Amino acid sequence: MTYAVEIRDLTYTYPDGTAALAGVDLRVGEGTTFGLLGANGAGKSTLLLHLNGLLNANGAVAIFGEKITRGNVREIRRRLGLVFQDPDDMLFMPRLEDDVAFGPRNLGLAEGEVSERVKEALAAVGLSGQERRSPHHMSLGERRRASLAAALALRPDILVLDEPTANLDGRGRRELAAVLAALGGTQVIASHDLGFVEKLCSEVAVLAAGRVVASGPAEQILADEPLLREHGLV
Amino acid sequence: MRHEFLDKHSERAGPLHRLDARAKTVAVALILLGLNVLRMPPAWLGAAAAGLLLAAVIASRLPLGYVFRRAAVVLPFAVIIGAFLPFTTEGRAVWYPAAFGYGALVTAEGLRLYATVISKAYLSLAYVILLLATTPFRALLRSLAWFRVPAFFLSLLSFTYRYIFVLVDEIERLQRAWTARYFGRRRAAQFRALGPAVGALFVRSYERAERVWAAMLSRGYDPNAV
Ligand SMILES: Nc1ncnc2c1ncn2[C@@H]1O[C@H](COP(=O)(O)OP(=O)(O)OP(=O)(O)O)[C@@H](O)[C@H]1O
Ligand SMILES: [Mg+2]
Repeated sequence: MTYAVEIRDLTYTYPDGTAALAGVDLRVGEGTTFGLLGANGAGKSTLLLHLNGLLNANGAVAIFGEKITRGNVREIRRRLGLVFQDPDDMLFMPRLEDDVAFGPRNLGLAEGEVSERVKEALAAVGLSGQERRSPHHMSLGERRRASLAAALALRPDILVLDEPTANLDGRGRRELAAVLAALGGTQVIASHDLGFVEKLCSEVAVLAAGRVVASGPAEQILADEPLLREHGLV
Repeated sequence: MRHEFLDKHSERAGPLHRLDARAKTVAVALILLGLNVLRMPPAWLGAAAAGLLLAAVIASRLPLGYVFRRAAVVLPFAVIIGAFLPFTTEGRAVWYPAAFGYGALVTAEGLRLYATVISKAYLSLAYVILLLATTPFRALLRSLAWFRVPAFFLSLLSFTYRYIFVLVDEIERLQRAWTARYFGRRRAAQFRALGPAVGALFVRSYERAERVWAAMLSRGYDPNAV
């Protein structure tokens, strides 16, 4: 069986000597909504940056059974949509439509196809009709959904989100949860928001100090209070 | 964040907005050439350029202050860089300032040249701002590509356009954090804190720019293509 994401013994040390990942093993099946739990500094963001080759995994990461190489990294970035923790890192154009069109234009699609994708992605996140707004004037909840649309416009096979609910209020979280639930497909959600993960994810892994310390069905892990407490999640 | 983009007004529907970007690029290039090719252009040429600019801004319904106030950012540079001109140009002496036993001769021709240099710089920038305010940046880049401007130069321009907001954002954030804790007076202490603040600005902008770059790569940006 090929997994959507398969990680074997991934280690990573930042240039300043911080050992962020210390031997991570992880498998995400196709069609699974996967929650990656971990306290601040556990290594979630670092792990996600390896999934589309932004940090070099030296063959420790395979996407749909293919190890990431120089040759296939562009194709993998198209198939795996990464939504960054801070939406402002993804939104840098004066108009929302240009931000969402950025990916499709990089694919070299014709303008007609590009605008179709923009429309589709904005509709999926509930931002239809806001094409001409400046992302910098939108609320955080809207920017979160805008950055999600920017990733969706590439029609990825796997959606990877880094702390999608950080700083969102109750309504923002509900709206985002509804959008993600409606999208379906394979999703990896890194978070320490247990309620959000419980609502969306069928499988969960707990990351602590750069290692996976537990993984399994969501009901089982999320019910294990001593485990969650030990790793700073409750 | 409340910063504005360079081509903020470029989506309006004025007569200049409708013009083909290539035509506007050529027109502005010719005007800049005309303004700057002569060392000492006749006064009527400067007046004509200024009049044409004013007419264009009004016809495009751009806010007057937007073009004319922004163009003023070049003045300090022009004033400082040209400051030696009144002293080094030969001509009729009008003033002989002396200080500490040294003296220098200021000539009428020198003063005229100085004024000309400052006006040229101001008008040139104002025309470029007019071009940006009536042409979406993407259209401008496309027209430059049509004129065979090298791809490297175009990438440079588009990066400046995309990344300038990173710097502006970080400046705004720092400024806000700064004013939130500023209680007046104690100027010296403020200035002492300025060094670390500017340092933080550069480190943060740099790290932010790296994350923006990573986000761009994630969405299929190919640094080797244009
Ligand atoms: N650019 C960097 N240089 C050096 N160390 C870093 C860098 N980025 C992260 N780290 C360190 O690596 C470790 C893992 O960080 P990471 O950002 O992956 O954690 P995280 O689980 O995403 O945390 P958070 O919930 O706060 O986002 C931390 O100890 C962090 O200090
Ligand atoms: Mg993180």
